[in-house]
Amino acid sequence: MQAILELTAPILHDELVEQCKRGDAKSFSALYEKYSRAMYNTSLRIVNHTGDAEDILQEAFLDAFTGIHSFQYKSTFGAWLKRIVINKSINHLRKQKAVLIDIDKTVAIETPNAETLDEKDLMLKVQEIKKAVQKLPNGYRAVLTLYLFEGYDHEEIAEIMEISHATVRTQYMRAKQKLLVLLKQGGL
Amino acid sequence: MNSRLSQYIKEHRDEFDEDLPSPGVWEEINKKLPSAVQSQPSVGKVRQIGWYLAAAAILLITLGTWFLMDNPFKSNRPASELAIAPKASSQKTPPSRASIQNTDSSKSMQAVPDVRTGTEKGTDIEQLQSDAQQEMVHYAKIVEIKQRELKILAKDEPQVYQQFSEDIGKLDSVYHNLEFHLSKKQNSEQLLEAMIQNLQLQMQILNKQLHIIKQLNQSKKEAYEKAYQTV
Repeated sequence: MQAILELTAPILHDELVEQCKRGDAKSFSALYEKYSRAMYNTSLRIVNHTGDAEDILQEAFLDAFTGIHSFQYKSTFGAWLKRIVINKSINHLRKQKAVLIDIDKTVAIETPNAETLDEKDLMLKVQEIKKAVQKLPNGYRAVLTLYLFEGYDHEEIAEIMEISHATVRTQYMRAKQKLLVLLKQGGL
Repeated sequence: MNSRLSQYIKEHRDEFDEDLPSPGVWEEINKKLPSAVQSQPSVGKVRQIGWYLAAAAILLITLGTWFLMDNPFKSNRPASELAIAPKASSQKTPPSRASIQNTDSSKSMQAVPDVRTGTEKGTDIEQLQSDAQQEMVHYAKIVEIKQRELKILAKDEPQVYQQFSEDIGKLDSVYHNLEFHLSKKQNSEQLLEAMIQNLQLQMQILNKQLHIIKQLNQSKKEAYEKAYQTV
């Protein structure tokens, strides 16, 4: 039996996950403790609403726990769960029809000479950055947080958001410029 | 792309995750959890099916064996009829499943216990038992193949695999029990028949088990993809 387990473990088996698979109630609670904060913040950055982020968090954990038998260590449990959270968050934005439609409209109007903005002069603070990210339009915020905070590359973001690589790239550039403008405004 | 901003965020990544969800979130999850987890295609369910199959099979085989052993006709038979001609003793009993796998079939077919040779029916019975032996080799091979297939398919379900192996293991021990009786030269025709039935049952159960595992794998795959994509 051990040999069979080893065969299926390209990624190290997570004892907590294994205990959940055996139906141990305490392990579900422990998994929630371990991941809820990071997952909540991930969702919050994308949907920008505490109530919505909590709903998504709840749904995501329930989905992950119900489907825990289908989790087969193709990634870590954390990465798997995060992907569920992100998919739900993006879907939430999509329901509001706010993922991409607003991006191009806002671009033309705002920050025409943003390219010249130099981030070297900016005072960077966690709270300032958080506030500025919250002020970004939904689509920008999604692309920017997936790239800067969650560490996905452009290809992965394109897949998650169902848009082309080129779109991801230009939107990320614009989102970042917008963020820098907001940071500069906040700092003034 | 490796700007000062992204560098700064990387270095202070943990500080950005400072918000906490309200305790109500876990309470809700905890409330919904038992029913949610139970509605899964559970290992328990599969296990139950396995148990039913095994229980049914074992009952059948045990009753069959008991009936054969206590068969009233058996005791009425003249001892001479039951006597087995002294042939090379190591070759007499049908090969165990393991040895069937390793011997070629022609050799196995010769390994027939030669019952009641010396009577005029000798050749018929020899023929019969040769056929029985051939049949057994055939089934034993199928059982081996299916067991190997099951082992591969069930590698993600160690618990289910273990249960399945135990079920088949029980039948297999009944098989070996029959084999043992055969080696004691008891009522070999009916024993051979029981052994064949045993192997057939093993094969049928393995088929069922394979079917269950395939279904389980399929539903897992679908659930996994669903969780990943549509959420």
